[in-house]
Amino acid sequence: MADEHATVGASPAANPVDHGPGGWSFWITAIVGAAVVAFGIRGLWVNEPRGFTSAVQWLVGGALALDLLVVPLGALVGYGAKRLVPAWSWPIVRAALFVTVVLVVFAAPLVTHQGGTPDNPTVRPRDYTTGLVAAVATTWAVAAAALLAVGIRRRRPDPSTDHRDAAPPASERDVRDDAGRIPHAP
Amino acid sequence: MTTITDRARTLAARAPDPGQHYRSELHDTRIAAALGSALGITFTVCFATGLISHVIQHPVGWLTWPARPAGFYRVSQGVHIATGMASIPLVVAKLWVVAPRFWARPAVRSVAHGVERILLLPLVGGAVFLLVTGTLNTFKWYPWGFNFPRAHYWAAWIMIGGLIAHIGAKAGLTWRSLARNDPSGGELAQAASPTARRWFLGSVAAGAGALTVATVGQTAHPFRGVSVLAPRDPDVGPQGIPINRTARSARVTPDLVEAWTLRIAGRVGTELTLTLDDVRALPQHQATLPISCVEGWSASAHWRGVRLRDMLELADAEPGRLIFLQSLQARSLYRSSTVAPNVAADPDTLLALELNGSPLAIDHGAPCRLIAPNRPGVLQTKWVDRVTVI
Repeated sequence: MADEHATVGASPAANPVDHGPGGWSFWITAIVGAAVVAFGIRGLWVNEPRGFTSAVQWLVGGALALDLLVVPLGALVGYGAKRLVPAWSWPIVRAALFVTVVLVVFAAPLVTHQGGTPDNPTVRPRDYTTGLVAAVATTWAVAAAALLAVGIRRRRPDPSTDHRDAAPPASERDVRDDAGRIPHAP
Repeated sequence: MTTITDRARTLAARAPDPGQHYRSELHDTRIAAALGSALGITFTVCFATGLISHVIQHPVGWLTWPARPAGFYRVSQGVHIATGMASIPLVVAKLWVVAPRFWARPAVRSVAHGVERILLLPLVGGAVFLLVTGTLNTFKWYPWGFNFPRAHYWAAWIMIGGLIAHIGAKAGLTWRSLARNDPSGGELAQAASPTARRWFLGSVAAGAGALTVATVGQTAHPFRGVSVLAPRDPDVGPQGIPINRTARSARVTPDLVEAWTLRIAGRVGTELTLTLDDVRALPQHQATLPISCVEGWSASAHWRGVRLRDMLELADAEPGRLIFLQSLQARSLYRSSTVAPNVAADPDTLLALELNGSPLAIDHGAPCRLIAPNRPGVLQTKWVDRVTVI
């Protein structure tokens, strides 16, 4: 099993091998997929000629923005935040940060009043700033409860509850524990 | 003598590789496989429900869209929007996990690898395009130079083509990785601990769940209290129902409504021109039907008015024909709609005069609008003043 040689944290996979694509199933789906992509591009060109350039900019821009902006920014935030909290709490803090960023980015146009229809009060009828604050507060309340639960468990000396050394349940197919060791058969 | 290709290779080898700096344990093949599988499902659901909505609005000859179940479109379009919004955190997380592959060296190793990578552009670009434009459409914010429904529809084909190719390229690896029988550990260099993996996948699920709970109340009424980021509230609007286009923006004035008559013409035995009192004097029927917007909100309401089929019978219309409805509304893509024979024959298809117990508000299409089962809101034509049998 691949995980057997892995260790905790940023550990290398056993022997990452990039098989690379190929084979008949790859080529069939690639040809069918490319044909469908071409159908879509042609449809956009024929049916929306005036907006074609703008649409292509948004299509290509969307992919580049994710790879060149969102991912590096996420790395930067993660790099910084990880050093501010104890290592054991990081997965929980990271989870709360992730949910927070998703909520904030989603709600940003609502909170900053972008777009909308001023003559139609049934569009965006809520106070979205209050809503966003409530959603983020709920997220961190859940995270705080999880941190408390995990923190209390860590302080308890009883080895049977100390997950760092405990063997995972036998039902688990992943035999590696969190420290990356292979637990011996009981 | 060094050729240009050799020099390019040397330069490429010397170029910095940002991918090697991604050391997070989350760059793990099994996490990528789990997120990829989830996205494969959500995007297929989004594509299918989007196609349904498109086909209802742009009918094709070989398909008669049924009038029943009455609330089907409400569910299918609600699912379309909710699944799309839930996919936002999934896409961001997936791109994060596989980010080192974006910088892979050499960038192209074989013809197949090159084809695979080129077809990632329509997949990723299309996915981001669909999620961003779809979400902003529900916010009514259009910071671009294209027609939203058309570009969204064609971009869906571009994305799904990329998805087909990507599934073909990755299905085997995904399967081996999820079944944990890949001795190589997959294509990504890191291996997350089970706890880290669970927490991360859990946080993505939490993000998707949080966005869903925060918005789905615009169509699933029990959630409206907690859907703090929903672009609509199904209870807010004239007569307790939201609207998509006000009378003002449709340029329908009270004067026009005052002078309203209903004309029934086309392939009929007797052409009719009815006043509001004439229509009120006809047998009135009730129906409880939802207004289901393409933007994903919906609200159920009680409607009262004349059955379209009764009206057609009164004019001695040729049976089994398409019915073309026109509105007082000037110049709009949605100033008219076509009602298929099966929908026109449905007992719940009304030319409604009342909503929730009182005469239609002008923003809801006073004095007379269409309300029919299993139909998008944009085809529930408001301010109807002409019925033509074609």
